[in-house]
Amino acid sequence: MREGKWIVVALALVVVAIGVSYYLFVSERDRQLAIREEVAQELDLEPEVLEDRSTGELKVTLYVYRPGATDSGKNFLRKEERTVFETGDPILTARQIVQELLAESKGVESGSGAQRVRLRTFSPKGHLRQLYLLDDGTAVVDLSQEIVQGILGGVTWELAVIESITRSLRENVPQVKRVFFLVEGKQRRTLAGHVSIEEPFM
Amino acid sequence: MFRLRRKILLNFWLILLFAALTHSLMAQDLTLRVGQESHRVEGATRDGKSYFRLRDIAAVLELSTNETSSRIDVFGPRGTLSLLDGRPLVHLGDQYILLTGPVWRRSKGNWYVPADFLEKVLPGILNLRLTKESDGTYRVQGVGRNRVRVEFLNYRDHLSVVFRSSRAGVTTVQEFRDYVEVRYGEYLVNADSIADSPDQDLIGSVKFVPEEAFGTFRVEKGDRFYSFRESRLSDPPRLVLDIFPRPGTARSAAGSAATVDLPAAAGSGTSREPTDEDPGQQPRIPVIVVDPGHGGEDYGVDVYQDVLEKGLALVLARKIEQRLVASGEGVRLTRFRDVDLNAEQRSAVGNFHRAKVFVSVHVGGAPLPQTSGAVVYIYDPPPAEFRVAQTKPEDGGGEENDHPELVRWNEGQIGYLNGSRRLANLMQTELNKLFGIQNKVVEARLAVLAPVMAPAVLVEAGFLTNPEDLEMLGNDQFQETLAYTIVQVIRKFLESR
Ligand SMILES: [Zn+2]
Repeated sequence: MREGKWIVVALALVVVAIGVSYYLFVSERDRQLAIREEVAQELDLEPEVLEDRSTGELKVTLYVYRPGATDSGKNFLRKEERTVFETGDPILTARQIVQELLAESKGVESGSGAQRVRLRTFSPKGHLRQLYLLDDGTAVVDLSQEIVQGILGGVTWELAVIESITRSLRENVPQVKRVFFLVEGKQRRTLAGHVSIEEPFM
Repeated sequence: MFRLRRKILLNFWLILLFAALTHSLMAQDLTLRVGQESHRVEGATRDGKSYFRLRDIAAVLELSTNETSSRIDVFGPRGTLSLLDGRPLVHLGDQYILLTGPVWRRSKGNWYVPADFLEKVLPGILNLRLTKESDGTYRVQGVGRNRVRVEFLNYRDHLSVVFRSSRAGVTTVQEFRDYVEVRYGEYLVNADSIADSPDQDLIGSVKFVPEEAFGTFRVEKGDRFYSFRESRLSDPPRLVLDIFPRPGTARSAAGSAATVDLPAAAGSGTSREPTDEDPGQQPRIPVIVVDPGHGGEDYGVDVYQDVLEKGLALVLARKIEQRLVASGEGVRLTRFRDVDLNAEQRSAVGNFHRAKVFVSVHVGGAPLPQTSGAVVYIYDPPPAEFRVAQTKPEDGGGEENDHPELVRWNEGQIGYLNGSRRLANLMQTELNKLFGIQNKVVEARLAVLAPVMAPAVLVEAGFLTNPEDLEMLGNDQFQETLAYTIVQVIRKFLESR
C-alpha cells in the first residue's frame, strides 16, 4: 500500500497548500481594501479615485480675482462656474474647489522682451498640501510655500489669494463657516508680508 | 508517482516561499523598552512607510483612547490628542503638528500611527520621553525633573527676574500682550513656590503653568512694564529677564527697600549695568513716522528684476522725510538702509516715538496687469470673536477695566481708526487726481498697522505690475510729485485736527 500512503500525504499537502493560499489571499485582499479606503481619505484627487466615490456631478462657483480690482469689497472677485465630482463629503468638495482655483490661474503675459512675465494669482509650482474641516466649521487650508513665493508682492495679490479661497469655500460648502490658513503646516504671522493670517477669515 | 510527489513538494515549497516573501514585505515590529522589560508593537507597511499599532502603544504607555467613526482621542497625563479623520494634521491644545504620513485606520478600532508620531506627538501628552535606540527600538524614560526657583532682583532702573534651575534644559522666551512666557523643554519642571514681585507696578505675579510644554512660567506685565531683555547664565543654569519700566516712570532707588546687588556672575560676560541708552529718561516729542516697506531679503514686489519695491519704497520715504523736515515737522524713518524689519519692529518705532501720524510707504503688485493707481489702506480688525485679546479670566483679563489706558499690542490701532480713515480718504482723493483713476480706500488686516497707536495708513503708490505705473514710478520727477502730494495731505490732516 505504498501508493496509497503517498496519495494520503499528497492530499494532506494539497489541503495545507490550499489553506495557506486562501489565508494569504484573504489577508492580502483585506489589506488592499484597507489601503484603498485610506487612499480615498487622503489628499489624493486623482480623477479615478474621485470617480470611484462619486455619485454624480456637482456645479460649483469659483470666485477669482477680477482684473483691475483694488477694493477688496464685493466687486473684488468675479464668478466662474465649474463642475466637480459629487462625493457627499464636504472635505472632498472643498479640496476639489481649491484645486480648481489653483489650476484656474492660467495667468496673463505682461511686460516686453526680456522683462516679459506671466502674472497669475496662484503659482503653478504651488499646491494644496492639506485641507481639513474642524468640528466648529473652520476649514484649515494648508498651502505650500510655492504659493506664497508666487505672490510677487503687494497687498492686492495677497488679498486675491485669501479672498478667492475663502469666498469660494464659503459659498459652495455650507459646512465651512470660516477659513484658517497654514503655510507648510505652520501658522504664520502674515501670508506674504502684509496681511495677517493669525485669525481665520469669514 | 514519484513525479507527482516531486510536483506536490515543489508546489508546497513555492507556497512557503510566497508566504515568506509576503511576510517580509510587512513592516518590522517595534520594540518599546521600559526599564528591563521589552514590549512589542505590531508594525505594518503602507506606501513604503512604517506604521505602528496604536492600541499596542497605548497598552505599554498606559494611555486610554476613545474612538468614534472619524476620530480617535488619546488621553495622556499632560493632555489629550485628537486625530481627525485619520489625517496627518494633529491638533494638540493650541498647536498643530503635521505628520509625515496619515494616521491609518486599518480596520474598525484598529488604528496605526506613523513612526514620527512617537517622537513628535507623544511627548506632548506624556510625562515620558521616547528615545530611539536603534531602528525599531525605542527606550521609554521618565523625563528627568528640573527644579526651578524664581528670584527677583530690584535695581534702580529695572527689575530682574531670575529663573534658577537644577538642569540646563532648553528654554524659550516669548512676549505676549499681557505676559512674558518662559517655556521649559526637555525636563519636567518642578517649581518652587514663587514669592510676590517686589514691584507690582512693573510686573504682576509670576505664574507657573505645569501643563504647558514641560512647565511654563508666565510673568504678568504691570502698568509700568515697557520692555525686557533676556540673558542666560550657566553654573548654576539661570535665565534672567531684565524688565524695564515705561519711559519717564522710573522709580527712585531710595523708595525701594528691596534693592539687591547682582551677585558677581563670574565669567558670564553679561553684566547688566544700566546704560544711558535705556529708553525713556527724556520725554518724547510726537513726530511723524514714515515706514519704508520691506528691505533686505524681503524684496517686496519683485516682478521685474531691475525695479524692486523695497528700493522704491526707501527712495519715496526719504523724499517724504526731506519735505516734511523742510516744513518744520519732526520725522522718524523706521529704516534708513536696505535692512529687513518685521512688522512689530516697524510699529514699535511708531509707538515708541509717540507718532502723531504713521505712514507705511509701499508700491503695489497685483495678479493681473490691468490693476493700477495708488491704493491707501487702513487697518481692518478681525471680528471680535477671533481676537486673541479674548484672554481667559485667569490671565488677568478681568483687570482690563481697572486700567483702561492699557491697550493690547495688536489692538493699538482700534482706537485710532477714525483718524486713520480721515487721513486715508484725504490721501486717496489726492493720489487719485495724480494717477487719474478712481480707486477707493481699502480695509485689510495689515500686520504693520495693527499695533500703531496713531492715525495710520499704508499707501501703495502705484502698481509695479501695471506697465504705465511702472514707467511713471521710475521717473524722478514723478517720485517728487508723489512725495509732495503725500506731505501736503499729512500737513492738511494735522492742521484740520
Ligand atoms: Zn509692500
